Amino acid sequence: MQSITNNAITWAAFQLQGGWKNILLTASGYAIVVVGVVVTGAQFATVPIPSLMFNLLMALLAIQAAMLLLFAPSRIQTAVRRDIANGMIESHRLMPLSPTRAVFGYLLGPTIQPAALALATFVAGAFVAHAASVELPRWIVANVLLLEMATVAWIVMGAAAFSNGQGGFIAIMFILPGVLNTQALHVLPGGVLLIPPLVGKTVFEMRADLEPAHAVAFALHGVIAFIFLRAAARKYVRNDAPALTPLMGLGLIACWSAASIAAMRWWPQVQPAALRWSVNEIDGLTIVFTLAAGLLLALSPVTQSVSQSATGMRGQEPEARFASLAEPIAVALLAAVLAMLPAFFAPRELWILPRGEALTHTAVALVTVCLSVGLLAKALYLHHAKGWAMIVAWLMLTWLGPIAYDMVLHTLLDDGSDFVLGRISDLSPLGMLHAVWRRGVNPNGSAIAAQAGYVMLAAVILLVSYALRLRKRQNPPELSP
Amino acid sequence: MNEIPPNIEALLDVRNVSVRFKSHTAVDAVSLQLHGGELLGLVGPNGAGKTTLLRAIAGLHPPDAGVASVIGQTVAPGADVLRRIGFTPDNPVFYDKLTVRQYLTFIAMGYDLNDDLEERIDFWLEKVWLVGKANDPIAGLSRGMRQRVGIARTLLPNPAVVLLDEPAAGLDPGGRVQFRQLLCDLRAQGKALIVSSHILADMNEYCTHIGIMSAGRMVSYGTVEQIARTSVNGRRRYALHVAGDGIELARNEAQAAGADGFTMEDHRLSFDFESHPQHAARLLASLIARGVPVASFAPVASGLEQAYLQAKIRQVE
Repeated sequence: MQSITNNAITWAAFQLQGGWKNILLTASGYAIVVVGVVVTGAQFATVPIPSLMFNLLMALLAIQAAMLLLFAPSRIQTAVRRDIANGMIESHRLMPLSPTRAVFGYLLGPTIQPAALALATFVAGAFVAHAASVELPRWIVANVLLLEMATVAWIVMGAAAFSNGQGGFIAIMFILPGVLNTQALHVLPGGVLLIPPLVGKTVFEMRADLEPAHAVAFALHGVIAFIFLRAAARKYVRNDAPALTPLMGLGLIACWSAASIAAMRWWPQVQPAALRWSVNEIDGLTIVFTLAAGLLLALSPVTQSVSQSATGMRGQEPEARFASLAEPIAVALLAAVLAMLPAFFAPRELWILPRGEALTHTAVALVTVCLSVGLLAKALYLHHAKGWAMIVAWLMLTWLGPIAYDMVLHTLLDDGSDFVLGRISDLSPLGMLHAVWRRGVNPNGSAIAAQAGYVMLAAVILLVSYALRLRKRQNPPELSP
Repeated sequence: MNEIPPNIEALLDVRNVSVRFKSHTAVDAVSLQLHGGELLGLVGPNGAGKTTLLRAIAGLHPPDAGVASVIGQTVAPGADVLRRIGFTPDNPVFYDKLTVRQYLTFIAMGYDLNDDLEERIDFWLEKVWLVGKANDPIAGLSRGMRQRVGIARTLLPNPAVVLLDEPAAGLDPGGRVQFRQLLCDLRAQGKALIVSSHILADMNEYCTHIGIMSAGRMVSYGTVEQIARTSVNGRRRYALHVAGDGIELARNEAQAAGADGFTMEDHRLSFDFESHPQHAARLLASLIARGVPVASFAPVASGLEQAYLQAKIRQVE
């Protein structure tokens, strides 16, 4: 509690925003504007007052969402990046503030003004809800759902800001189109579950109750918030520390899988009610995209485990470094298992192939991806190289390369038929998952051989990298004076 | 105020600390020890590694090798011992919109100094001559004033080890005099201090130790006396002014006494000779006894400057 009530960073941010005087003035001015709009609207209303008030309530809710989910996180990001850029954070690091307390300072201090405006919106909304004949509990539930989501968003944004300047906003830019694209919601049901304001009857439908899915979402949010809080604290202490340890990365995959399993089980309740008119039933593509998202999450723990073992063994002989493959391989296998859980617990109606065959092929695709990325990352870290560009290129090549080739071939054939993923596409892990879960066919031997080939190729790259490293150690370059 | 525990062997112990930036070694196996009341003046050309060494000791840049410990506790990011270290960078950063008092209140809160917060702030505002500026926003302060706020920020939590990087750079002459007095006060309080500076002339007055850094290495380290006397083969350069004739006689006499490296210009003779003052005194006495009209006889540079000039300094391009 002291983290919140007696926090130097919060206090400084509060003073930088002008203290009580400025915050109260801003909130009061904003409240006056809102009241003015309500009164003016009521004076000149051409529609029944309750109907007008309900529309105003919706507008206030949209403002509340923007305030809590966009304005407040942007303030956190600005504060963190400013202190990192100008070096102020080093002054903070000299203080005996615990990292968690410091992160709380950054989460709570810069958001005081948005929080004051959100409070004003809430109070104004309560009166408008009364005028619109909307029961107060409905308005409260909507705000609670937004606040809960905002809490997680603030923590994630804090961790992103400590890690990378624009990371959080880049994430939002990727997430928003997915959320807004109603046709795409069903392919990542776990993503919908993790946005509680959209679950079932959305906040804009002024629900008074909560679904059991909300409880799952809140619990997973708790775990995710904890992981990102730790990540932010790690970056606060040291710029050069990776935000997520392999264990934290595995935790995120577990959260994703749990959210996906729960969302698929309860999809009729989880699916946003406002969007039920569109074709949004979960199908084989749901499993493919959910597994692919899990694999993308797996990149973090797999590469971090390699980086951690490389850093921890600096100064040791290359043989010892080479032997340190055990941890990355274990993490890769664990990541694959966790990412595979949504397939294992997939609803009965999604199984096209016999369970054993489907799971075996799924496991082959997931394990080979994780292993090959782990080996490739190891090869890069042996030379202290920043390997993300190479790993992304590898994924593009192996995941999308065969599918793109298949598409080009189909275009060249020009037989007028619609394109469907075929045997060549199956050489990609995504194509293989598509074959199993969407088309319901067993991938042929060449597809399985291709997955094994990717691992072999990564292993060869690692061996070459190891040989180069060994040669470099035996013939070190002369240092310039 | 928290007192420094007594009977501590060394407040600051730096052992073989190395800091590397990729292939560049910024600090190369530097070791030093400071006890309470000792003040190390760290000198060296730009890029010698002084700031990096101070940052490593302050826990802001973990060393790639070696260890720095304060009061027996290893310094590391986030370590509790950081509260015993005060560090002022050469260009301190502040929340410029805050007033000086607000900023120091923020620092005091960060160190959980809630009991006698106002008293402490008033004390240090007075010590760094900022009482009149207490309620001014930091944004409006001059560089020298900002430097003083930075020093107050460092000293407010009463650290045992104080690291000051170019603290006098922005101070006016009066401020430098006051600053030297402050450093002497801090020494008297039993703190261990390191002050990085380019101003060698002042260092005799407040330093107990001198460290000369070059290309990441501590090329010379010892007490002020030791460093001032240390020169190449125990020798230093002198300049002798002769009033009228007698320069040849002076040259012969000095040569006989062991001087070499002579250069002559009008009535001025420069040469290398034993660095110890007693040797110089003997030579001067013999010159006067021989009837050389000595107008002046002195080392070309002060002891520290001479030591600095003669150290193996490698200027970083």
